[in-house]
Amino acid sequence: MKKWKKPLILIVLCVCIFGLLGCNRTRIIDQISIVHVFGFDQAEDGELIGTALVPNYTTSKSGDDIQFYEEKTSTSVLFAPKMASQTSTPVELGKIRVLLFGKSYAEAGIGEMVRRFILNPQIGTNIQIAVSTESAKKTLNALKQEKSLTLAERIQQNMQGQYLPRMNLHVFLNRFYGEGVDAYVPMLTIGEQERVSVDGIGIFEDDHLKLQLNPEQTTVFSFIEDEQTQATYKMDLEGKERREILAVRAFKSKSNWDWNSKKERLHLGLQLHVTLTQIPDRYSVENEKDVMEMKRIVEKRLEKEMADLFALLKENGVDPLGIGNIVRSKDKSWKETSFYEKYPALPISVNVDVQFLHSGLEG
Amino acid sequence: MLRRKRVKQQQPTRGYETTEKTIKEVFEKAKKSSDFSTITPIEKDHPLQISFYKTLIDPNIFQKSVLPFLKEKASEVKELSDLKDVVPIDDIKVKQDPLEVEKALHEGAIVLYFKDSMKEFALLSISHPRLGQRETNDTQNEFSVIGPKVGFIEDITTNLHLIRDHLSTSDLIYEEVTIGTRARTKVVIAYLDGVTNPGYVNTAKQRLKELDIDVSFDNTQLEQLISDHSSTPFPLFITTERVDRTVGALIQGQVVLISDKSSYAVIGPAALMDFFSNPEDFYLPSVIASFFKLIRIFGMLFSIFATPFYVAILTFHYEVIPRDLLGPIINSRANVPFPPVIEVLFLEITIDLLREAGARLPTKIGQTLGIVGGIVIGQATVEAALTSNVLLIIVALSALSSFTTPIYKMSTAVRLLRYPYILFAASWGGLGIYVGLLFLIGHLARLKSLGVPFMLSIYPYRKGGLANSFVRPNYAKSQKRPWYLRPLSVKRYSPAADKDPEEGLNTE
Repeated sequence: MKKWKKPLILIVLCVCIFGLLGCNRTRIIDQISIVHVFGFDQAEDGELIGTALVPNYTTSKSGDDIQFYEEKTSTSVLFAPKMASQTSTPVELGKIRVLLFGKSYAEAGIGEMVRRFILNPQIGTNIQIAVSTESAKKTLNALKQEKSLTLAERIQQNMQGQYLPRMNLHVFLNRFYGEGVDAYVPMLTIGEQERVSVDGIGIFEDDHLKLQLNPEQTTVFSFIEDEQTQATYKMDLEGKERREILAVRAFKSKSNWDWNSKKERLHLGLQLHVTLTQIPDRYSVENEKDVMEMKRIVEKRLEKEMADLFALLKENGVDPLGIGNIVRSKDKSWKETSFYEKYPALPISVNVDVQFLHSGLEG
Repeated sequence: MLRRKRVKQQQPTRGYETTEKTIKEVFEKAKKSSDFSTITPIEKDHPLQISFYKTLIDPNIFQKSVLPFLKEKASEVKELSDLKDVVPIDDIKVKQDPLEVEKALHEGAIVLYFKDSMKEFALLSISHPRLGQRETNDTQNEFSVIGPKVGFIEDITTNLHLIRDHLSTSDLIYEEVTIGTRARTKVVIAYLDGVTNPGYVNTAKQRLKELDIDVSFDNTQLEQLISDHSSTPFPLFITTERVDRTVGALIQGQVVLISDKSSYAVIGPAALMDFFSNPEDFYLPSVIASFFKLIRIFGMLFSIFATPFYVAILTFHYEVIPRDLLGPIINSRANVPFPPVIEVLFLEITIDLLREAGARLPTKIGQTLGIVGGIVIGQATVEAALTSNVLLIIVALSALSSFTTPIYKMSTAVRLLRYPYILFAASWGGLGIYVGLLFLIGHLARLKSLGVPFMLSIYPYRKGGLANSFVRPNYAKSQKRPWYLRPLSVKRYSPAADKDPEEGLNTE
């Protein structure tokens, strides 16, 4: 019997391998429909509208043959199965790059969608989540007209080199479920020539969209929130003859929050390293006095803009900067409800320290 | 159950040849061969006769140094021992045993005897072992750009000469063993006395002595016969035709087997990572040599895993493909009617067919085959939509990288390994590759070479050996032999300290 032991084990092993192989489900790459962008909207009768862009790579290498699928269901689980009824190959969600919410749906609350659809192991978390000012369906249709699959890159590029603060689904979920902080997402809009463009950020309170910041406000927001922001900040100065423009581009920023627990005051010390990209003609960078004056102008203007931003956030009762968290880190007895009751009246003072790195080398 | 009922056959005793022979039988059997001749050198009725195999002796020596002296002084020869005064050849033995006479005949000796007595035989060894052998070998199978290019040939005396010439020390010991009941091949166990652990020498000697085989054609066959695990695809000894590699192994304290009629030396105990090292590593600066060694190890891994990962990813894990690659991969696969595993197996087997056909053909036809294989078949399969463009590149790259392994036997093992991985990947995807890897590591960890673990210094872990498995250390730092090979003396040399003057000509 001993001589038969080894072949016997091998036969059993082969049976196991082929038995399990028979129960296996393959997802061969050219026989699946890979969803690229997924959009959510609310129908008027309360049902959900799911829209998806599926590039057809089998006919074009660059993927400019894009299929648009739309499906109306009562629950998000049915999106993929119902869409599959229109396609020849199974719909796979694993390669979604951008999740897009229509504004009206986002304002009504996305909590259920996050729990039921987005918290799905198939969907990665290093992807973008965004809200569009139009309906998601309309935005996706515009993207289809553009024949481009670069929405994710468009958002990422604006986060790395422009004024958007950094955000992805992973960070979004952390903020969405976290205490003492509110989530924000990039806003998309359909601009001129029917092109989809980035337009500030939208701030959530709990699970519904509460406030939208315009690009200028977002720039100031990025200075505080994002240490590596490269946002360009432009200010108009009242000149003697004509309007003069002073523009700076951020290189790095460091915000120091200081909580005075006795007086219950918050102080923000912001160190900002910028490059001068455009200066009015009457100033000269060779003149130290002029440089000091420009520095003072930028600091003053930023301090005012930030005070306005804090006022706006407090007024709307949203906390995308995570001020609750900052206070919690200094105060053991912090309670979410009691803090946010007092939040609209919380005094926040700002001190901005601007350093010019260089000038005239860029734009 | 059936096997038990079978009557146990009587095991034959050692040796299949007739052991008892009379001298008459020896000569009668030899006379059946046409190349055996018996001559009477002087006159017809003189009793002195000479018998020999014409094909084994050196006719020059026979004509110039044996026959003239015999003809001149034959009358003085009364007894065979007198021959020593007549014939100017030092290797003259007088024997009586018929078996020894037979053996000497086969080793190229001439036998002198008086036909009337037939009791004593004088054996004069005038063999011509290099007859029909090539003069030199320039290591074509293990080529290196720099370094010596002398390799072994199929003659043991030449090979032993090459080694001793290279390593002139009396510590170098050759021990001879005869194997093969019919062919009686000479095998020499070479080692450095006082360095090599006697355990290895004894193991090798014991295995060779107890080996029962009729003919051993080559050292590469002998290596399999004495290997620790006969059913593994991996070679457990290094087979090399390079003299410098052999000498290097002796210096490290390894045992070397050289056998007659074989141009390969067998080195043991060998470790897995030794197979990716090349003598050229030692002639290049250590940084560059380490880089190339890492390239070879990467090539081995790439060669095994490239196509299995292609199968696994395209069949199961489309998520891991970068977005920009999705388009080209899907587009090139769009017209292929097969699942990835069939596509890959088709192309891999094509490549192996080409390789096997190229190896069997003469060089000049082989070139044509390369063109046919590389251009025509490659381009045509893609155009006929049997495989995708991307796969063609991956398969070509992995075939290329499998040839970076310096030892041919390991290179073939690496080529074979990918097939089970492709099947594993096709059935379980990435998990299948992982499962296969576990099997491979389990198998490798079980292997031994002359009783020494094959994965030594990686598993079981040995301090100081791990880094040297992947890089070639600086000479100043490799002054000791690896202690885990248990050499009798660890130190090889001690580099002198830097004695350059602090200030002087070379401080500017």
